[in-house]
Amino acid sequence: MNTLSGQPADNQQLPEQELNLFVFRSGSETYAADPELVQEVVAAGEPTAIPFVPDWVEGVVSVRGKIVPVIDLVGFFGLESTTTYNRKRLILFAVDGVEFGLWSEQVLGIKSYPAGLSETPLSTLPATLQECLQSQLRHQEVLVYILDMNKLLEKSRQQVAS
Amino acid sequence: MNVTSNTTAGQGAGSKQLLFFQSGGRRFATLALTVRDIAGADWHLPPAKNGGTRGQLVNLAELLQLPAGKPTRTLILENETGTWGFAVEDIPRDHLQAYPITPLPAVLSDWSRPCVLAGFCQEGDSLCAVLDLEALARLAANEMAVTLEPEKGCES
Repeated sequence: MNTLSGQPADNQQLPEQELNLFVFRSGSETYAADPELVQEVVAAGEPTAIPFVPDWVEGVVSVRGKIVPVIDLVGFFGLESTTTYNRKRLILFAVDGVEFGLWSEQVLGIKSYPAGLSETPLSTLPATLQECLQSQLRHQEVLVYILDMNKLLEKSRQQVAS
Repeated sequence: MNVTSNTTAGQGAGSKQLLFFQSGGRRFATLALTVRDIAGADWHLPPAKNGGTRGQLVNLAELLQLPAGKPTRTLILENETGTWGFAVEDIPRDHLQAYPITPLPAVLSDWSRPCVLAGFCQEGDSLCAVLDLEALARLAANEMAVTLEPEKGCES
């Protein structure tokens, strides 16, 4: 069993291998990420809004005294209104020393999938979502978007800079 | 009103004296030492000295692109760009309190343009954004001059 960061490069040819992913739902979509990047899941209150940030930066929350920026993933990908889903759990990620939180209305936890299910993201996806995906997979009628968190951070910086 | 009077006791080493106020329906703070004075909503800009820059009276909520309420007080700041009055909706009775300021997470420096935050303070369970009035004065000066100089992010 491998995490995203530990999987062999030729896993497409080794269907017996498994992808170990942290899976969660935001809005109407199901996402997955490398579990090694997940610090913890917390029940956070309303973020403190801050001026002059993009709409998808909802603000900051304090987690045991640490200031954590909160991203609305649905808004970032431009998928639907940011008010249509419940912000029940905040998933805290640490990516290359950058800590941030993503809202999730349902945390499904760490799940294993056959690596052979991984496929290239659909070209019809919204551009931002497509650019932030490592791949996607279909399992039991559910389409899971596997996020590349480094690309997500890079894209966020590009959006602000532009 | 002198902003250094009527202070609340500090909350330990590293605490800064903060002045709390409301603008755009939100609670903010700023370093009390940056505020020269607090005036009413009818504050008028003093005459320019030696033909220098005068500054301006600015509705802070509008500058922050927030819904502007009715200003009742004005925070006055003096810096190299002139004298600035920031009209705010309310200043609470216990407006001066000492708190440690937690700096911005580094990634917010990338996401916040322009950056007008000095950090955050923790008030019980909630956070309050600490605004950098000097940065806001520079922003207002740039907007008045319609300058093309790119806004800077926060120094992390």
